[in-house]
Amino acid sequence: MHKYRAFVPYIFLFPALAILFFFQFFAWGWNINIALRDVTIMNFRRAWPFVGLENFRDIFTDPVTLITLRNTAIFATTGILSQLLIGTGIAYLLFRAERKVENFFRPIFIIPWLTSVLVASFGWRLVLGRDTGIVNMVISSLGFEPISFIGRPVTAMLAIVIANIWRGTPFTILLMNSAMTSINPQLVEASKIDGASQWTFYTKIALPILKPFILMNTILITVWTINAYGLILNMTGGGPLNATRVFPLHGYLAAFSEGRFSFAAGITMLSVAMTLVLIFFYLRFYDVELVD
Amino acid sequence: MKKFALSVLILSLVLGLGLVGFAEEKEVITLKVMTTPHPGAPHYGYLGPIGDGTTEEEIPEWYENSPVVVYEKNNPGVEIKLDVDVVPKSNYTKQLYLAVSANKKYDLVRIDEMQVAQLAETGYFTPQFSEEYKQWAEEKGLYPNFVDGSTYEGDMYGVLDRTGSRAIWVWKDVLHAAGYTMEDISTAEGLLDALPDITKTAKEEFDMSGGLEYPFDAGWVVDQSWGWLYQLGGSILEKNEDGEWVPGFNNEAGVKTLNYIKDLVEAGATLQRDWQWMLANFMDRKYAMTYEGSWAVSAVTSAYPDKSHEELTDMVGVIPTTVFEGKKLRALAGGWMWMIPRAAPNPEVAHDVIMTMLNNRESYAHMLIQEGNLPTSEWMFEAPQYKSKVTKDIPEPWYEQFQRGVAGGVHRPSLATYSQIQKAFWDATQKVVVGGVSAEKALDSAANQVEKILEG
Repeated sequence: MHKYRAFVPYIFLFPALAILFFFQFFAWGWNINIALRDVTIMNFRRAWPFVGLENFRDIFTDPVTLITLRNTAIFATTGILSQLLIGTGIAYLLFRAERKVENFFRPIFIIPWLTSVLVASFGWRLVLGRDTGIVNMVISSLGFEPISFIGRPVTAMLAIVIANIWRGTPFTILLMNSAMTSINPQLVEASKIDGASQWTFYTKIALPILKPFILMNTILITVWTINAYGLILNMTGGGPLNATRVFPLHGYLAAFSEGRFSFAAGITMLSVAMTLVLIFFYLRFYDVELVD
Repeated sequence: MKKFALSVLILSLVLGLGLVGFAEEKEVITLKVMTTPHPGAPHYGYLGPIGDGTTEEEIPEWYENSPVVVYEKNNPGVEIKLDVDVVPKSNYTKQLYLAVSANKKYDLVRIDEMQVAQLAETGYFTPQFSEEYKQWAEEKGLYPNFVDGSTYEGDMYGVLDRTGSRAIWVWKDVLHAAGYTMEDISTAEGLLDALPDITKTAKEEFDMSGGLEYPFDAGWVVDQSWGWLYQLGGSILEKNEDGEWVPGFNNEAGVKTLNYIKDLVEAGATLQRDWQWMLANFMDRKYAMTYEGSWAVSAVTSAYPDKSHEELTDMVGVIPTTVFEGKKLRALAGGWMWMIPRAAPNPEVAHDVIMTMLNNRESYAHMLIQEGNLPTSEWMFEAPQYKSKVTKDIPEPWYEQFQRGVAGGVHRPSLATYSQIQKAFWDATQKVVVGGVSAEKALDSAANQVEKILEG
């Protein structure tokens, strides 16, 4: 009996691993399988011919793909940087504010993050609508022509970037505020006694402590921003003129509007690869030992 | 004696139970249906009763004419239970694809004309009733557009039994104040000429947002311009000498069509991406004209319940679409139909229920009125069972305009890759209208894309 004791942890781990395997690896394996075959809604119930990397060739020769990659770069860069900067800034203000003020504002700031994508996108359409939106009411009352924010390529991109920042920033506020609160007050006192300037304190003491939090935050908001196609789908549908069609949305529409499943599966794989490259880049850039 | 009494008791029990059993013996058939929400009666589809009947909502009177109830009257030994999956339109294509891929055992699925070819190609739906549909279409004079729209590779997969007419709705007071009549704006050139004045009048004298709102990017307007394309002699696809499909829009007709939309915008039309609000905008008198459809009737009539039909038609004008001078009216007219999957557990019954509706003008009229749609044949447009009822709600001058729009309808090409082809043309439209690209260049690029799609 004693000799089987070593297997006990594995027996307990097995159900969790089996579920993980099924939902992660099986799904991934299936996705890869579809990406390497020619599967559309038309032939879904027949044989799926193996086509190798042809779907990837189709993705890169599709004239819309390059546009979607450019859109994704603009949407993700502006979104991630803004969320990081604005979120950390507000987190710092809350950290420095009096307890009462912090307690009052913290739940308020979280509301956008708790709002469902559908409600958020609908809300932003209402806010930015040409004839129904509050913003245009103000613009009209000032004597200017109303602007069709989601009707023009540049303003449509701006609209989805703003909506995404609005929805995503609260997470950074929450995480960074908690991280700042975790800095030991004794360290602050010690640095003051040692005569460290505020700049020295922030760069030499606070930042290294906050670095793992910033890294984790950057990774998470990158994943969420790159995959935030639901918000875009409901706000602009990817238009006008594909100006807001981001890469994952390109895949979603290929699958569920046109029934091109292999093409969409290829895009999914490339999206994940893109995110992994970014995460790898972050790990190198932040130079953080996540595991001690 | 005791034995005799016992025997009589047992015999009467057996007979009694047998009779009770016989009296209740009805074949119960459950029809599994997938459809879009039904605005007329959320809990009682026009097909018949939905659910287990425990809903507290009162069953409406019109229900007597629903196809299932009529079918049951015609077949007293059968009881139909409807098990309906109601899927919102925004999610419908996705759910359809899932149904196809999982080979779901629906008996009836409601299909938009634009998806007929693609879904027929999947092999999920059966063409087994094609001959009956063709016969029905011939007998009842289904407009040819709808016969072609429901046919894929020679088989009819159902009957496009309901449609809507695109329509320009006009506040006549603004139009008249600008110095124009409905006739003036009924031609493509006339509307273009009048639009700057109408826009100016709408803004300055009526404090409106604009003259005409033109929907942009809504699913149902992506191919709206095709009516003009067909009027001018173009098409989306045509067959070449070898009988192969080739783009039919990369020509003068295509250029003129896309430039016409661009000219409308330059003349003051507002591109409306918030198309969900278009009707509300029009009803709020934010625009003098809106590009909507026949489905907007109830919004107009219910906003003015005290107005007579004459007063309504004096107030609001309708034209199906503008027509280029010297050309015939052509407007895109799709529609909806019922298709039966191969895996359907009760295909014959499902087919009979639909044919019951199509052959019974009371029942057919009931469906059209509940759905707020228009028929697809003159046989039904002129049917007293329909016309007399519907013109109580729709003023006759509007009804005539809608019939014109439907009769002059053009259908989408019956091709499995239609959705991709549509997108290529729509991209070209956007490039010209908001992207500053010339129509020639945009159409060249779209034609190349379509050729590649057709090559597979």
